Amino acid sequence: MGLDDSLKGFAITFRQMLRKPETIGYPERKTPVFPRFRGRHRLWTHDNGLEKCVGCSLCVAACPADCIRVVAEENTPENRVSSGERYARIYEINMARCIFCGYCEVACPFDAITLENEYEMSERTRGDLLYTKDMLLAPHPKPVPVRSEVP
Amino acid sequence: MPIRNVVYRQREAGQVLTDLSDYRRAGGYEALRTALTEMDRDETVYAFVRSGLRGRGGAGFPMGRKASFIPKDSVLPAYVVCNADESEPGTFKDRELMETNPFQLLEGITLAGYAIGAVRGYIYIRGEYEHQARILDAAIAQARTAGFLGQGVAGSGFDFDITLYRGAGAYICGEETALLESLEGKRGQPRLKPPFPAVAGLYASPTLINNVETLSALPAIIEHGADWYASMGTEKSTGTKLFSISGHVMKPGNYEIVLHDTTLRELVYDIAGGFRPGREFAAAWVGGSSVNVLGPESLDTPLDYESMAEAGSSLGSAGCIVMDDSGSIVRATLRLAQFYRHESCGKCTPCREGTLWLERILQRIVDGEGRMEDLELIESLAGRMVGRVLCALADTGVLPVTSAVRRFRDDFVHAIENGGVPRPEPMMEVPVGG
Amino acid sequence: MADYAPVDLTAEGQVEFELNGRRVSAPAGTMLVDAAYALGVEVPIFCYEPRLGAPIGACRMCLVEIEGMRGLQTACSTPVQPDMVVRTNSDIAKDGQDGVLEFLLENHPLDCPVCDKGGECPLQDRTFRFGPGRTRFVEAKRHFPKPLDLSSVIALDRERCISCYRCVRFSQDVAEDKALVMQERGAAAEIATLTGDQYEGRFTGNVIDICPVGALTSIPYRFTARPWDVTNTPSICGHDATGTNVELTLREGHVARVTARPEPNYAVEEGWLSDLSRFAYEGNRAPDRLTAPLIRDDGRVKEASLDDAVDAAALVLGRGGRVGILVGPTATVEEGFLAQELARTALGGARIQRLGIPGAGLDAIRSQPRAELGDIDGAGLVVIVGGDPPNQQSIVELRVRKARRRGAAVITVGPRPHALEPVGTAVRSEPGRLAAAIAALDLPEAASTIVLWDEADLAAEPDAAGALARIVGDRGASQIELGADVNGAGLRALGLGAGDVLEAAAAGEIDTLLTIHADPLDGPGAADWGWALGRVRARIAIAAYASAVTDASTVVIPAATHYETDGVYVSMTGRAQRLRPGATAPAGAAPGWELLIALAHRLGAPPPYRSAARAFAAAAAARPALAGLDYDVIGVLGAPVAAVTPVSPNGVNGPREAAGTGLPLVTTTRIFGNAAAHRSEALASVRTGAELVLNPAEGERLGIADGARARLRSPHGECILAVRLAADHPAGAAFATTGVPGAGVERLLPADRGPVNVEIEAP
Repeated sequence: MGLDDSLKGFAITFRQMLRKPETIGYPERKTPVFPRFRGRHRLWTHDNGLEKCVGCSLCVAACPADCIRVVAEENTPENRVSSGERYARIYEINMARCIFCGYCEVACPFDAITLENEYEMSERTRGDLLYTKDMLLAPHPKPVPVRSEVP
Repeated sequence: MPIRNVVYRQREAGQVLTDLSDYRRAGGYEALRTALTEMDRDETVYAFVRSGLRGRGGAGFPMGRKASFIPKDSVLPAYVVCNADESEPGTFKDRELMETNPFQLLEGITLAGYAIGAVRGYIYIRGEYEHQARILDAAIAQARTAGFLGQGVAGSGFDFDITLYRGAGAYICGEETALLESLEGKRGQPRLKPPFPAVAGLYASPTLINNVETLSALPAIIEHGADWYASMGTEKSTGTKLFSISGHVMKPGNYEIVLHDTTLRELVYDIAGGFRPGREFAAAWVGGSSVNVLGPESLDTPLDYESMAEAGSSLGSAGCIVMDDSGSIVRATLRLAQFYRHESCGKCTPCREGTLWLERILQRIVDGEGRMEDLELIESLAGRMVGRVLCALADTGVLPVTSAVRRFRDDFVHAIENGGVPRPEPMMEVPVGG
Repeated sequence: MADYAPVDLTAEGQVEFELNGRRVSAPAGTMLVDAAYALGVEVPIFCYEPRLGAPIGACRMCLVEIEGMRGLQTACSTPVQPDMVVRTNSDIAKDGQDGVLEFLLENHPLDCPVCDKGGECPLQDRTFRFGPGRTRFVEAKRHFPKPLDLSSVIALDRERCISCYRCVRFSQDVAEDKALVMQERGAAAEIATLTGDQYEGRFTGNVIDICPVGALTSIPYRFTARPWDVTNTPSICGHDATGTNVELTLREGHVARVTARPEPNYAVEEGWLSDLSRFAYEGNRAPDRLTAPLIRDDGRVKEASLDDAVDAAALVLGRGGRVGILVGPTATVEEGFLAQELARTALGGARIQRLGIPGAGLDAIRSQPRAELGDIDGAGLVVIVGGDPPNQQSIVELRVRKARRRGAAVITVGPRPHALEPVGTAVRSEPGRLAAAIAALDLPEAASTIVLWDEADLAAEPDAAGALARIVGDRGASQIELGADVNGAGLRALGLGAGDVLEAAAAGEIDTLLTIHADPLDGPGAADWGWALGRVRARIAIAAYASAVTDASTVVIPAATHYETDGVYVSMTGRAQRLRPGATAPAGAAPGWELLIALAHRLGAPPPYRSAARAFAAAAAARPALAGLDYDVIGVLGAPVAAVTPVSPNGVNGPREAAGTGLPLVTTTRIFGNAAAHRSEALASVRTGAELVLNPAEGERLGIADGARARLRSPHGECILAVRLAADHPAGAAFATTGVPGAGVERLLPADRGPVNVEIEAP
């Protein structure tokens, strides 16, 4: 090992110093995700404001992590929540257990649940990771940039 | 002229025979007297067997054989049931019999009752035949007063009475087991067979069920002899048959002809007077509507059971509906499909859903929304109904549809390709039930 | 859903035939579908349901190919024939199944995601297995407004109906209530009641179980859970003495519904439940359920933990003094046995008894050969003595009706009119004169006779019981006891008599009273018990529901209900069957056996076991009637206890002559007139109250009009009831409804349910 080798090493170092850094200044800057990135769930409503979810629990059946809980109830003329006969009175996802496999989205016969691109879901307590229906119906407060499909 | 009035005795007599004395003057009740005094039961059944008389309601099952199926050692009483639920489209031969010659039917039922040792006969008459029911009621009362019904019929030791029962107007109640259900006061729907009515029919008792015309032919067979009756027609189609002819012919009506002696062409053109000037024969449903439709190539077919089967159709109830070339076969087929959809009792799945589906498809074709694959779909659906249903309604009800699609395929293709079938003249509008 | 009839492939008279190329055999007369199923070949079905009677061949789902026969044949209506060649999987047979499913789905809405049947739906399952996968139907489907309320508990969705006729046949041919019919015809056919009224009866809920689609669904269960949200547990109904087998559906700790088991117990209920069995579960979370232990101290009530409450109870019991223990009729065998052990060891010398009918005079009839409910089916003659089975042991009604349909003669004898009387020949006996009526019976010859006798009625007339026992013996008949108490037979098997705690308490000889699922203040002799309990210094209650007794107890320990505990009930026919927990007890409650074991530990006499199973094994080892039984032997379908049912020597007979003056009191009960029915919201629209029924002549004599109120007074107590005048009730007796919470008819009765007379007057 001689001086020659040392110089080679320093050369690499200097070369890198001149390059643009590969790291990103998260959280000030966020990496754009692919459109098909499976992040936080979202429940959807129809244009008329009725929930698409009818509380059929097929997502529960499909969920390999057993992290969804649905308790259904019947729509009444006074309280019409979804377009079907039934709606989800309780719709909870335990994000601490979710593995973001997207099976719930595949299982849903009404396109009521989708996996969106947001991935920032850290909380200080486990209880806060229990997402309720209201949380899932609302747009995520921390949107994520999405990049085009082909890099 | 091939007309031969054997069953239509009122025509031979030239008068309406609704009075017992008139009927007796015309030779009525001689057969019953002969049977009661000179023949025992087995001889009577044997006479029916030898006559070769086939059931005139549509199925054409030999009447004598049916009578011989009635068990003799049953602990339950036997019954004769007359199927007067004449509902097959284009068929109105029994109506005239009951209207103008009711005693002959009563005599026939009594003869059948004597032959099988029955205790009672029932006439199940369709609800719409209100006038005919009144005539039969009056005739039963007269016969009772004169001793031809009740304790010791005609002075013999044979006790027999007849009850008239009016249906409520359902095609399905012409099916023998549905008729029995209705007669028992239940919902008119076919029963699972076996057991057949001869073994377990009305009130689970041995029961002989025959059509009005079949039973009305019995007095003549006893009176003139089974051999005389069998000498008419062919070996398998003996005797005379009542034909109801309707449709675009000039002289629609009932005609009694000897089986096999007449061709369809003679029936349509000679007996029924042919069509309006300038019109040609287009199609005929010879045996009521539940048969394959025939085109002009079948005009020279002799009218008997075997020849009609050979021609790809059947004699059925001989309610012959004829169309000339002024109408639309496609629309006529839709009308028939509507009929079967409306009359399906709904008990078994293929009939309930299949008849509805067929009607919907034909309606689309008529409305100009047909697709070429619909013709194959019709074939496929019909194939999934025939032989898989509970009774004959759908088994035979798909025949006019499938046969029309096969025989008159061009008409259907034309309707699909040219935006449907134009609406006919208002005079042809027929109200559709249901 | 039973679906296929059980087939004994080892029975005599086997017929050999070919099934899908396999040489097989099945007993002659077996329907092809059943034989095939038993042989491992599933032929799909919808309308076929062997429990509904002869097949009707309506749905055509079971089409199979049989060599030599035209078209396809329905396997449900074709008995196996020697050497027949059957194919269920040939192309033509598959086309048949495919075609029928395509037709069925033509008008079937694909609303499976909102349908309660989704996930446990025969139509769904069979479409997956045998169906086409896609439809060629492009037209609009049939539409009806939905859902309709067929009754307060059954929702009807006519769009989903596939016209299989199962519900209609159940109503017409099994329950024979003749209410459900098919209206209209063809594709417009729909299920409805004949009158257009609600479908009411004692067995309506069964149509929910047998519906092969989601056309008839349970309203109380509506949208409660999907099949993958729940666990199902086989258990026992627990609301009458028949031992009806049920399945409990558990979601998130609660009983979500009660259904018949998928594999019925043919010896008991045959898969049919009464609406009480099916819908009473809602009462499990009724407002009067005890959910927290209570300790009363100097008039102050405070909630306590279970541990503290058991400690407090042990403290009171351990103070010494004379202890009495009352075991209620819904206590399990384990609870009864543990109470006995307490009385034998830690509380040596304590008096212990069950609350119930003494019935020493019933030994003669009880020792006659027993029959199971399933044996009624094949009986040639069914004799019902006393009682009112349709209201008290409901499921018996369906068995008797079935026997009648199969040709059995039915004879009823008894003082009160009931729904099974019109089924056969009814003999009306005078109150308290059953013996005379039995002696006058003219029973026809029959190959097999089954006598059903009412425990309460015959206990009050020991000579009638004796006469009946002789008839049973002489004819070589068998007998079924129409038991009054849920687990009366189980407690008797332990040797628990209906003893003398009442007399002792009344005499001031009891200082502390421990009640276990026992509520003497709401049962027969309530008035006498009320007085006697006033003389007891301390009361400890182990109970599931609040009552007058728990209100007056020093320590109240909430117990699990029969929906929430392990245990054994012995049915009135002597069948030991297991309760399995189908729900979680409230946080402040525990199963009675656990509480009693804990109590024994605190009292310094710990039993050598800590589970219900071991407790039962100990009981079985100690009691001859339970010999040879354990949880495994009992299994899913139960096992008979030994026929000997020893009665405690301190059991006393009811007096033969009624006490008091006035009209003899005939007690009646109503299926929906008991506490269980009154607790269930689902049964709110059918529940009934208490009434006094009199013959119009009696009403006139007493000057009491229909609808008026009357005061009834017996030597034991009094109550006020609404009066109904009914000509079908005979003169010379007063008919009053017992069992209705708060009505107080029990106050008129002696504790042993013996006969009394009542004076009736306008209040």
